[in-house]
Amino acid sequence: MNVTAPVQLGGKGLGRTVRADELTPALPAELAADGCERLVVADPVALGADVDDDLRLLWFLREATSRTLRVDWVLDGRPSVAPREVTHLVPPRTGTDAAYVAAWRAAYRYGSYHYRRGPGFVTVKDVRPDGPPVHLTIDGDSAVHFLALAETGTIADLAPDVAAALDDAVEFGLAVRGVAAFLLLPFRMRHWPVPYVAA
Amino acid sequence: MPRSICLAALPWQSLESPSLPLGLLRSACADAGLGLPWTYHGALRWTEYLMAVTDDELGPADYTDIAENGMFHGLGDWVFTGVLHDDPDFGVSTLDDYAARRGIDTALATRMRGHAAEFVALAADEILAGEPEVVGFTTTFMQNVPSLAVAARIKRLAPDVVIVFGGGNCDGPMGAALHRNYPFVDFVVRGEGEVAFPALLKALDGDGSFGDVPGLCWRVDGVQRTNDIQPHPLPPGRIPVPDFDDWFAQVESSPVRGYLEPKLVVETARGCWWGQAHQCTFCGLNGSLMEFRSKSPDTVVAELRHLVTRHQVLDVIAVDNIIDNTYFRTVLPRIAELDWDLRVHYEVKSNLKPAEIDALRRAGVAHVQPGIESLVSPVLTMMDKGVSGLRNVRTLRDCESAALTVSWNWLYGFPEETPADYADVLAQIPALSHLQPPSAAGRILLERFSPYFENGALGFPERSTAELYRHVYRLAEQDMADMVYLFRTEPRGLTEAQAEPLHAAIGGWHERYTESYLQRIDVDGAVVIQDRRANWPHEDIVIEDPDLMAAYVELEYGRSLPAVVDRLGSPSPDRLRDWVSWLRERGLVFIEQGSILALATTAAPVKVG
Repeated sequence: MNVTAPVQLGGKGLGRTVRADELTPALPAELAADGCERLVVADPVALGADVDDDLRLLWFLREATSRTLRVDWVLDGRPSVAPREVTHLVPPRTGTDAAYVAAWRAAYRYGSYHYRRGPGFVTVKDVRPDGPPVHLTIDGDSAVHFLALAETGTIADLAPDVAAALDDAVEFGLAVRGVAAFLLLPFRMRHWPVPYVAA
Repeated sequence: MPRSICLAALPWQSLESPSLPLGLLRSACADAGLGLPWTYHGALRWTEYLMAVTDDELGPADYTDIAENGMFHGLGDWVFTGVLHDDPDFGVSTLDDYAARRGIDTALATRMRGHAAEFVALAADEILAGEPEVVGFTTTFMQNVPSLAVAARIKRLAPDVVIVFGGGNCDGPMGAALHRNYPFVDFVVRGEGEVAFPALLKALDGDGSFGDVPGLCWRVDGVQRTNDIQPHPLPPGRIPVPDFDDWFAQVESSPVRGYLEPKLVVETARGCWWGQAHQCTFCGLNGSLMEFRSKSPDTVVAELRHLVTRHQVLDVIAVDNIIDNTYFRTVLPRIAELDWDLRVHYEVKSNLKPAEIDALRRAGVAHVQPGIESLVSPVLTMMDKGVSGLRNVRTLRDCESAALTVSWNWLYGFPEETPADYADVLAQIPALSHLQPPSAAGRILLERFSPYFENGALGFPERSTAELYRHVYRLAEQDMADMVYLFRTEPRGLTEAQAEPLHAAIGGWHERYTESYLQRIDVDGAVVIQDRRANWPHEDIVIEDPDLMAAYVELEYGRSLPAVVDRLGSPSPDRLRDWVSWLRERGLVFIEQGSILALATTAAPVKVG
C-alpha cells in the first residue's frame, strides 16, 4: 500500500486523457456509459478563430456539464460568443487570457442554465449572473422543436419547422447561431447537485 | 343542490405547493356528488398582502422563514394571536421573555404581526364574498391560530355560516378540545376527512345524522357530542386524486409567482410500516393512524403522470411518512422509464441498500429524509430505530455516492443516554467531513401520540404543555392540555453542557462539508482512495495488495474483523488489525461496537456551497 501526494492517475474510473481535437459532443455520454467521471484534455483548447468550431466545442462542454463530467482543460484564446453564453458550462482550469478565465470561473455555478424534460413539455431555468432570472415552460410543437435543437448543432441538419424554431430560440436567448453551426445553450439537468435546491 | 362550500388553508401552509388536504377534499366532495368546493389559499393571500402593504419589503422569503423556522417557538401562531384574542398586546411580553432566554430573533414575526388584523379582516371578507354556507378550515402545526382568527371573524359577520375544522391539529383529543375551547367552531372532523367531511355536508342537508359522521365533534343545545373516530383507516384505493387546479390557476397570476418554483405534493402511502411494529419512542407524527397503507404501483404512476402532465411541474414532494419498501422494485423503476427530469422528495427508512438508493436516483428522487436521528448505536436503540450508528453512516456514504441530498437532524435527550455513549462517535466525526452533516442537533420534544408521551414510565413522567403555547393561547392549562401537540418535561439524558461537544462537532462538520471529498476509485488493478477532505492531508492511498483490496471491499459493508477473516481467510488477523488501525488513524473508516465501515464514496456529487 502506498500513500502519495495527490496525483493525476490514468485508467478507467479515475479519468481519461484525450487531445483537444478528440472532443466531440458525443464523448461525455460515452464516458458516462463507461463509468468515467473525469476527463483531462492534454493540450490547450483553442477558441476564437472560427465561430462554428467554437460552437461545436461548447456543445461538448454543454454535454459534459449535463453528465457532471469533471473536465480539466486549458483555454487558448476566448470563445467567439458573448461571455455570458458560456458561464453555465464547466470552465477551464486556466488559460491564455487569465482575466477571461477568472471571470468565467467566478460566474460558473452548476445548474445556472438548464432545461428539464417532462411529458409534452420542457422547462427552462436561467439564473445566470448578470441577468434577470427566467423560468420558461415550453409545450406543444415548441417543446418538440426545442428537443430537436438539443440533438444537433448543425443548421443544415434541421427540418424546416425546427430551423424556424431556431430563429425564435436565438431571439429568446436560448441558442446562439454561427455560420453553419448553432448551439442550444441550456444543458439537460440529468444530475442534481447537493443540496438539491441549489440548481 | 350542493351547498356553497369554501375550503380554506391559512398560513403557514407551504408557499410553494398546494394544500394536499384541500386538494383531497375537493375531489372527495366531487366524488360524493357534492360539487367542487372552492378554495381560499391563505398562504398566497397573506404573502401577497404583506408584499402590497410593505412595498415588497416583506415577501415570500420572509413568509418561508416563519413557516419553516417558527414552529418550535410558535411564531406563526403568535403573529395572529392578538387578533384571535382581540387584544393587540396578548402574548407580546410573554414572547419577549421567552425569546430573550433563548436568544431568538422575533423582529420579523413582530413586523408581520402589525399587519395581521387587517389581513384577517381581508381574508374573512374575501371568503364571505363567495357567499359560502360552509367554510372548512384545514389546520396542521401553526395553522391553528390564523384559522381560528379568520373563523371567529366570519362567525361574527355571518353567524349562519357553518364553521368546520379538520386536519392534523384536530386528531384525537386535540379536535375535541379545540371544539370545546372555541364555540364559534361548529364542527370538528377528527381523523381522515375523505369520508367524514362529505358525510357531514350531507347531514347538514338532512341526508343522514351528525351522530353517524365518524370522528365528528358537534353540539346539541350547546352541549358537546363526540363521535368515535373511524375505527378502520381509509383503504388506499379510496384515497382520491387531489384536485389542485385552483391553486395552480391562482399562483400563475400571483405576484408571488416570480419568487417560487411550484411543487406538486403527492401521497403514495399513509401510516408507518416501521411504527406499526416498533414505533420510534419520540415520534408522534402519525397521530392516531399508524396503520400503513400504500397505493398500488399502477395508481401511483397514473396519478403522477396525471398531475405532472396537467400542471407541467417536475418537482414532486411525496408526503408519505415512509416509502413502501415494495416501491423500490415496482414504482421507482417505472418512474425511471418515463425519462422525465423529475426532482422528487421521499422519506425513507435509514437502512437503505445500494440497489434501493440507485432505484431512487434513477427515478429522479433527489432528496431523501431517512430518519437518521443519531450515529450513536445505544441511543438509536433507546429510540427503537432498528438501525445502528454505523448503518446510518453507511447510508450517508451511499447517498453521497448517488448525489442524493439527505436531510436529517441529530436528536439527544433520551432518558438513559450518557456522555460515554457519545465519546467514541464524537471522536470520529472529523472523519465524516465528506458526508452530509445533520441540519443541527436538538433535544427531543415530548410529542403527543409518541410512546414517550403515552407511557410516562419510559422516562418522561412529568409533563405540561410546552412553554411556547403561553404566548399563543389564552387558555387554562387543563383546557390547553388536550389541544396541543408539544409538551414540556424534565430534560433527560445529556445536559446542555454535555451536548456542547456535539454542537461544536456538527458546526465544524458544516464548515468542511462542501470542500471535502473522499472517493474510492478502481485504477488499473488497484484501489485508490483520494482524500480531499478539508481537515485531512490531501493524499492518495493506493491499495494494490489483493488481500487488502478484498478486505477493503468487505469493510464497505461494515464488518467486524472476525467476520472479514471468516469471509476471506486472509490476510491474517494480526495484519488485518494493524491495517484497520492504520486506516482509522487516517480517518478512512468509521468504527463502532466492533464493526468497521470504509468511508470513501464511490462517486462524488456536485456540491454547491
